[in-house]
Amino acid sequence: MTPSSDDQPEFSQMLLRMSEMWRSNMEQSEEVGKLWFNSMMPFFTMRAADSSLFAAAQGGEILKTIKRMVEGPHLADMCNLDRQVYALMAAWMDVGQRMAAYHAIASVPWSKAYERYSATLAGTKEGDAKDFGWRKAFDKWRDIANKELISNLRSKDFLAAQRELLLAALDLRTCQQQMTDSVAKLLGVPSQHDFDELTRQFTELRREVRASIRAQRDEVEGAGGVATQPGKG
Amino acid sequence: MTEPRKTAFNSILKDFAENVGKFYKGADVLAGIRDEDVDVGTTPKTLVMRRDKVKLFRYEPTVKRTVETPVLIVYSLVGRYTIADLQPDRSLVRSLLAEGVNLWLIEWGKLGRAERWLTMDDYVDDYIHEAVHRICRETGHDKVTLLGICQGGVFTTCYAALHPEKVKNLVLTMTPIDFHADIDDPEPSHGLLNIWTRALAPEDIDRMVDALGVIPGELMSLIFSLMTPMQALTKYNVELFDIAGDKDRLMNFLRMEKWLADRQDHPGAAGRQWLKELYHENRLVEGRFELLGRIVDLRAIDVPVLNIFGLDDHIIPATCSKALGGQIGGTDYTEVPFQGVGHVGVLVSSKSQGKLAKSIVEWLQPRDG
Repeated sequence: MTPSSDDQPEFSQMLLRMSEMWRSNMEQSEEVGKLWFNSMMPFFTMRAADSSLFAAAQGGEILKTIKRMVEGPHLADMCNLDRQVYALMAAWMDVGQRMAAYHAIASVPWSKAYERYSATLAGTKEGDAKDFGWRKAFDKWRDIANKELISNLRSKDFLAAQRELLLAALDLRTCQQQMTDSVAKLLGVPSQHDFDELTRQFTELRREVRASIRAQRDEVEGAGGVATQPGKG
Repeated sequence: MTEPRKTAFNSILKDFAENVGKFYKGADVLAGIRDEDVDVGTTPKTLVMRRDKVKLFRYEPTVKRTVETPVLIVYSLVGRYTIADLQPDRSLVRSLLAEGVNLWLIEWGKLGRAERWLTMDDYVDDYIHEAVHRICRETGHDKVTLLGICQGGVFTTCYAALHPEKVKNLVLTMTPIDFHADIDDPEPSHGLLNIWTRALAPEDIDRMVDALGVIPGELMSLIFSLMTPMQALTKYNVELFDIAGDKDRLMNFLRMEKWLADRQDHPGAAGRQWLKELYHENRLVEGRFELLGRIVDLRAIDVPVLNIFGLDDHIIPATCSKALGGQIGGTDYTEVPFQGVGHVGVLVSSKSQGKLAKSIVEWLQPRDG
């Protein structure tokens, strides 16, 4: 039977009241957090899923907000998994924005190709037009489009957009991996990080063993392992 | 009966009728092909040595030997060696065997994340060195001829520079030596890989390797498709439609597809060296590239060198391969450019069949003694 607070000395009663207050505050914080999450998540999800140019333009502020949350100071025992979720969300939205920018630049050569092709058709003489079957027309279109696409692939704008998209995708991948590793830790299963560390140690150990075996073999075979070029250092 | 007038409409109808016929014929041919019929890399070979995932094979001779010194094919880590043995009539391997070459192959295996820590040092100074050592032991020769393909050519070049005492001759195909020489190639479609890599900062490459562990095969496939945009877009519609009715052409297409799909991951550590030290910093041709603490000095290559490349190679521009000429210490240097042929075209195009193997063997025979 749980002793009532009336049976406890005054100091203990105070402690009990404080812990009761703390428990109540935590419950209320949780409720507030859930309310906020439930109201904002559909909005974030919609924005994240929308890879249009409009979204790219509108998503910037939301992305900045989420990033500020992610990059804030870390507390030892709170919100770590939440932080990783928000980081993942931010990375995902970033990819969406970069993808939209990439598509905008990648689509430029198609309109240029269309203009050039139209000029080609306009310049075709009447006599030639009768023999200009669909296949020749397609081949002509393909050549023009290919030249415009290749030219675009070498342009500064494309190179910058490609780089930004690659970096955003790598950030997303890193966030996914961090989350996966956290979940793996919670479940008590090895993570990718564990696997990589194991293979690294194994590879280095194997190198050492093989270098040793080879040195012995070279000594036996009389080669002596003498380098035919001067070694460095 | 009078002939119908030649009008645009009649012409369209005629085309349509022909295309419908082509479609049905193509569908028939395709329906009769199973995935197991699409076989690549089928030339018989014997496993001689296995070291981790790496395997050393000896090909079964098909005729009397005309070149005694063993020839070791060293392929790239990007893609599989099977492109050198795609099908019986498009196979450098079979052609060399038919010319009497004592042929060996080092196969890297299906690489994945477990190989992320392997470096170019491991590939050159361990796997290739052990393969050469084993071949010498098996054949009684004290040197071998190395035949490097693409990045495999860089490996063999480095090996020849570091261990010239083990190398009889060096044959390179589509091998980049000067990774910045793409700027001398006037063709806009050539050298996109060089430009794209140089557009990244060195720390971007570090981020990629750190995040992914490897350079994924799927990423490489995407990059190669981007480099030939219209070909990538029309491959499965217009081009497939054209060849579907011809079983031989269709099988060739399907075998190429099988090879393209079979793309393993590139070890991350080796990829870091490849992209940063070679593509970015161009250390090899500048005499600053190190493996296992030793400078890879191209002037130490004093063995005969045969340098083969395609003049229409958009992945490794010919200018990047030709750069070897002024760098090696030896004087026996021969170039064989292939006109109208691209990167894999050197190995599998109809223009190069026969000519490639013949060029190699005719060059090797007087250097075999």
